[in-house]
Order: sequence, then structure tokens, then C-alpha cells
Amino acid sequence: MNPSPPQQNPKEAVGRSAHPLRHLLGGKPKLSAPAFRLQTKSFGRATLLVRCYYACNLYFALALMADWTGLLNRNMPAPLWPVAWLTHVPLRTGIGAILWLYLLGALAAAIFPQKRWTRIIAFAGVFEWVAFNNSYGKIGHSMHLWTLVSALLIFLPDLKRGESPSRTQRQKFLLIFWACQAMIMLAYSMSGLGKVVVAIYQGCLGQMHAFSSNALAEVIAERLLETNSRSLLGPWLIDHSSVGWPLLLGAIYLELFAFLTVFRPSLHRFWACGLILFHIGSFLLLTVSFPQNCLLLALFFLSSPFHRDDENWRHTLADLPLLGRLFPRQCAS
Amino acid sequence: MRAYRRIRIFISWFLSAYFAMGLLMLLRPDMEIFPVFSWFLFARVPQSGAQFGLLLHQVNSRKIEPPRLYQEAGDLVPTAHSVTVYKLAQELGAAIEKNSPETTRCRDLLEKDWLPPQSSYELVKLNSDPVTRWKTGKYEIIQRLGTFTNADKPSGKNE
Repeated sequence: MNPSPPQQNPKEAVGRSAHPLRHLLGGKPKLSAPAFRLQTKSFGRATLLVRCYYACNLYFALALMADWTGLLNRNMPAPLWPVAWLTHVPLRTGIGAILWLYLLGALAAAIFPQKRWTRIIAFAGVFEWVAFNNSYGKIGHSMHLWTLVSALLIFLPDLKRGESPSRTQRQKFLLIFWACQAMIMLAYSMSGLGKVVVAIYQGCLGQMHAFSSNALAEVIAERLLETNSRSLLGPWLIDHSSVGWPLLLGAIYLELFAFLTVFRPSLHRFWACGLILFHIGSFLLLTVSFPQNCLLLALFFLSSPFHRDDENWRHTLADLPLLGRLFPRQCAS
Repeated sequence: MRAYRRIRIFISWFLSAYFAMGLLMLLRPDMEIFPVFSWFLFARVPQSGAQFGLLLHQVNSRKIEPPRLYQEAGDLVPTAHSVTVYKLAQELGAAIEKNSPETTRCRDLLEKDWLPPQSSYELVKLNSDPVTRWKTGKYEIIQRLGTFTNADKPSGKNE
């Protein structure tokens, strides 16, 4: 006699076989009573985080005030398109207008983050300032995500003071918050994709590529020579190039699959930790710092409103893209 | 609920458009139209090969003997470690080789904002392997593209 097959939850069996991609792309959320309870809690956290975001924005604008005198005396830039109008006004007046817009927009949004008009002015200020600051020959990317998140936050629903928001309003708010998370992780995934695509291209040409064992040493050496600078760990890693291999592979994994993690709240904190460590490593090796990105990761992922307090590390491991299959969920729960 | 659906569609559209436009930016030499960027950062592993460098001959009317690369002249220029100057040198070199009008823009930015007044510099093409150059300090000048001066331009203001 054949032994009877082990009992299996039929829904789970159908779910896994019929949607093999779902495991990779993230599960479909269930609309149940706990989900709606979670919505209220998540909404409370998200509103607080948006306030924190605008408080940080105000800090950036205030910290810049120490440089205002120098900035007002700068030469005419080669303006990027958002500040092309600078060529038609007296330069000092134009720069002053940008700085005041940045400061007042940041202040207004920090005081009234629930009002859309303040978020629009805050975005305009950041957008103009970042465009102006990058109009002197090279575009730096440390404030790009901050600017894009600021643009998305404009679409948060207006909340009236003293009134509790409806379920639909809460959901809209959370959806825009999620869009900010998705934008942040999309940029990392594009960066990871770039490394993989260029590695394949360089491999086809017979060149050293990102998956080569010495790749990180070459990248570090070139970067340090470009600016004749010294990083804390870069010179050591050039001498011990094999150590860089797993580090670079790990960084590519973290970056490439970053976008998938926005669909898996159990990974939000884990991935944010990984990416912040990646930025710390980039600074120690390459002197490339992205503190604003670390702040965004801390706000939107380390403190993610979608992270459930009952998650444990086994769930997190089971949700890892590609590697999650090594940690089956049935053992995890 | 209709508004909620509209937001969902808008978000999908926004993210897809950013992704697609970001990849399209690869067709541009500077790889971006602010704030849309490909995010292909440190994607290429550097090989042995040519790159451009600024060889300083004169700074603040003072002759430099022997001439030194900009990034190695930390005692003469305040922004020796600036990655912007390195990028501008690469852009200027490429523009001169192609005889492109970008040459004027790159020179203007470099000479007004990043070089001290009364400076003279030579744009050179260097050949080296990054790790070997890092360890030995040796590089080879394979081509000299021209010597320029900013004697008649205002001084730099970038710190």
C-alpha cells in the first residue's frame, strides 16, 4: 500500500504552486480584521515619521544658513534646468530667493506638515536648492532621493486638525508613504542592476568585472587616485583584495533586491540595516558618503510603520529574496 | 475609493516612468537630467587605460617646477581632493578630443570656480592601472592636449 501523502493546507498548496513568482515578489496582503487594526497603528506611526522627515528637512535648511554669505557671492553657475532662470535675474537676488524659499518652505512644512501647500513650498525649496548646488560642473546624488521623496509627499491627503481621518484617508496616506519607500528602494535596485548589467558587458569583453575577486580593489584605487585622498580602510583592502570579493557581492545583492523588500515588511529593518552598513563601508573604503540616504533609510525603513511587532528573525530569513528558500517558512513559524 | 485607485495608478506610473527614464539617461553623456538619474554608480570596474589629468604649471603667478597634477597639489589649491575637478577634467578632455563646443563650458567652470587666479595648466592624457599606480605612484603621459590659462578670469569661490 502506498503511504498517504502528508496533510497540507490546500490553500497554501494552491498558493505556492499557482503563484511561484509571488514568493519572489511578495505575498498578497489579506484583508482581515487584524489588517484594519494594523492600519490605524501604521497610520499613527506614519504621520509621526512624516513630521520627523520635515523636521530633518528644516534642520538641513537651518544648517545651511552658516554658508549663506559664501553662497550669495558665488560665481554664475552653468545652471541645471530648474534654475535656468538665474541667468535672467541679478545673480545675488536669484540665489537669495532660492535660499529663502528653501528655509521658509522647510519651516512651514515642519510646522504644518498636514497642509499640502506647505509641502509644495517645501518641495520647491529643496528642488531649487539641490538644482542650484549641483550647477557647478558635477551633479552629486546625495540629495536626489530626499528631493524625490519630498515630491511624493505632496500627494499625502490633507488632514484636518481635530478630526479623525476616515479609513480611506488613512489608506491613502499609507499608500503615499509606501510610494516613498518604493522610490528609495527603486534607486538602490537600479544601482544594483547597473552593476550586474555592466559586469555582464565587461565579462563579455574579457575585462575585469564586478564579480571578479579583485574588482573592489580596482574601484577603490581609482576612486582614491581621482582625488588623491586617503580612506580609513581603502589602502588596507587594496593590499588584501580578496576580502573585498564577498563585500562587493553582498552589496550587489542588497542593492539589486532592494525594491522587492518594499513588498515584504518583515525585511524593512533588516534591509535598512544592511544598506546603512553598506553606506558606512562605502565611506570607510571610498570616502563616498550618503548621510541623507542613511537618514531616509532610518526614517522610512528602520522605523517602518508596516513592520509588525510580532515578526521574528525566522520570518525575516524566510522572506529573503532568492535565499529565503533555504529557510522554509513552515520551520520558521 | 476611486481616488484611492487613482493614487495607486499614479504611483505605479511614477515608479515605472522613473525607472524607464533613468535607463534612457544612459544614452546621455552625463547620464542624467536632474533629478532623473540611472543610478549606475561605480558600475564599471576600472581597467588599465587612459584618463585625463590637469597638470599645474603656474598657480597665483607662481611657477610650479616640476608641474604637478591638480589632485597632488593640496598645498597650492584649496580643492585638490575635489571629485568635481576630476570629472570636469574628464569632460574637458573628451570635449577637446571631439572638438566639441562643450570645451568652453568646461573651461569656464574649471577656470572660474576651481582654479586660483593667474593659473596655468596643461590637460594631459595619462595611462595607468589603478592598483599599480596606487602602489607605485607611477603613471605615463601619453598625450598632451593643450596648455590653458585663467589669467584674465575672476578667482575661484568654491571651498
